[in-house]
Amino acid sequence: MSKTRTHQESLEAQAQRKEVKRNLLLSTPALIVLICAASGPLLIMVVFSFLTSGDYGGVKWEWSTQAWFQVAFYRDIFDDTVSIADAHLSILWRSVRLSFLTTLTAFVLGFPTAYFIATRPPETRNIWLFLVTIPFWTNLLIRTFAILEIIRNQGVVNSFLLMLGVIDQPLDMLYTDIAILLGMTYVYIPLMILPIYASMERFDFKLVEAAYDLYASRWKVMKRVILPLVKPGVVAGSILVFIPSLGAYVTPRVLGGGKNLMLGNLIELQFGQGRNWPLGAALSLTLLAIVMIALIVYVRSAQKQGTTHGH
Amino acid sequence: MENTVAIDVSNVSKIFARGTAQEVKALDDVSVAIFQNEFFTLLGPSGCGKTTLLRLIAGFEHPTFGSIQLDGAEISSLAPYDRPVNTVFQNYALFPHMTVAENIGFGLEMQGRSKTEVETTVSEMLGLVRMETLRDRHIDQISGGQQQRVALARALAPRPKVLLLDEPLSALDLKLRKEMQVELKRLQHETGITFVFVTHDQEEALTMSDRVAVMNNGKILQVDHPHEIYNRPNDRFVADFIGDTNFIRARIIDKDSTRMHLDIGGEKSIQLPTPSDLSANREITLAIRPEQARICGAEDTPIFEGKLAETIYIGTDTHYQIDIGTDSPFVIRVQNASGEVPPLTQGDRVAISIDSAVIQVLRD
Repeated sequence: MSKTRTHQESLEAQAQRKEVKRNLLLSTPALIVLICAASGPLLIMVVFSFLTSGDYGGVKWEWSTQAWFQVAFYRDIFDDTVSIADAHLSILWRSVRLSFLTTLTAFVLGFPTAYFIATRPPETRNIWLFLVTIPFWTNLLIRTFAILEIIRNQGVVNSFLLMLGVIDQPLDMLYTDIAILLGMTYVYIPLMILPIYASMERFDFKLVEAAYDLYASRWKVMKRVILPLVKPGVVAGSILVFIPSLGAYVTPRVLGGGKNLMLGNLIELQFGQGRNWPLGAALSLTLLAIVMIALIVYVRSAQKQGTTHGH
Repeated sequence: MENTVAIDVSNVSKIFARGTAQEVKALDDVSVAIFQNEFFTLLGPSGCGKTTLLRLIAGFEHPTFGSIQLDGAEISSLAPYDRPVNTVFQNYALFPHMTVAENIGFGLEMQGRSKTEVETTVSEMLGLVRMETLRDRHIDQISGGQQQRVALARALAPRPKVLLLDEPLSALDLKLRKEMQVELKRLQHETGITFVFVTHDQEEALTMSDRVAVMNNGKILQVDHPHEIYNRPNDRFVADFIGDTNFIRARIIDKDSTRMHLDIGGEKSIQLPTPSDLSANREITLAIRPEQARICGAEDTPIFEGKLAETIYIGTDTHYQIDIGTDSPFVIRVQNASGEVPPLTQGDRVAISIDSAVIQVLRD
């Protein structure tokens, strides 16, 4: 009896292994594309970051750690004194800070929106979701210029406020961190709403009734029942907003003017006017490292919270 | 003790989507008093308004008209978390991210009880529903029947004045359901809490309840003890919904103060005691339970005669379907163990006798 069972088990295991093999075979083309397209360029970046910059852009094939040194330090051209590259660090700090704020704003605005959509009758939910995705129909650059048109000194908001007499000088909104924050939140908020909605759609709203029935206030229902159960959506949404924000290029370029650079712009600068490809490569890899560290920290803490809730 | 009113529902109507094309009158001027320490059942087909009435008592909905009082205080406008009433939901609605113990303790915690008090009550509740060993399991790690017990313990833990149960047994298989029926009865006795139970299963209602309210189309048709509901239905719907019933149309030919003479078609007539408010020449319906009619022996006087259309053997009983010239055959149920099973074959002439005391007169 037990012999036949183990025999059967081994047969099953064999079948399973066969299945895995076949699936692997099926996904080979996609895997090849992914590996080549992801690790190829990454490898090039790593190599470039250890080379010397060419005089007119490009690289000279001479080994150097100069680029990595330049990420954080600055050597004076005249007296060779070394100081901290505070320009880079302030750009780095601005990138992290603005990305964090973008994620937070997108969550604060996106969570109630997702909740609203998930609590509509099923037949109208698709209309709301459709409305959320409409901005994707237009090119990012055009949308960003539209915001510029709205907030610039002679723009829609300022003209309107001036007309009403609320202000007598146009508000300087363009080319500030606030403008970048506004632009990035606008661009990335659907990426927050959609995963939260997906979690919330699976959420059983009977649980809210059950919690109310058991004397929970609105706030307690949110904190103890809804948030823990839609957390996977919140985590996914935050990651989807934070990562592209950190590397954002178009929005800070258009709405931040030339002066409020973010990492994306700094990197572009090295490959363009700066003619320092190795530094650009090193900065790119720094960005990658920040993203990975942020991800690990965030996912770890989210998991930890989940398990402490469970005990 | 038994007659102190716990919940007093008076003239409650609930209209959904009022003033629109989809307007639905879920409850229509319903009044009922539920007594303290009573196992009270709302019984009816789906869409009869029983769940709506339960949700009004729980506070998930508010009545369009009328009032609901709990121990003499108006509660119809209070939020669910302000009522000393807890609910066991149809699909339990247990919190999937919490353990058994956390689920049971949730209500107490929300009430702001101390940690030690929550601990003690949770242990007590786990004992009450016999789930001590599964205390730290997650909800998806226990069976449906166990989830049912956790849902009960969770709703009982804050010691509500009234426990509402919304078809809690419908997701269980038959054997488990029977077990839980006994269990619920025990819990009600042990806790002394008023239970208001919603079901569409008439057998469940009859076995468990102290009193049953039969509902249809947003109205309560009859409120009474199970045996009264079964033996003395006051409405055709009640008689039809609960158990099997033979219905016979009849016309009152003439009557005096004590007896009335009925024409039951086919030039036959019977005499019955007169209910007070029926006039002569009126059409009425007679309801006769299949087990209360007999196939005539020599000593009986037959009331109907007919031809045996079908004999159905169902283990404990045999059903005789007798064609007496009405739309549907007259059914007689005979217990096989009674030894009174007549050896009949299809097409035999059969005479039926009925004790006039078991004939229910329904006015319609």
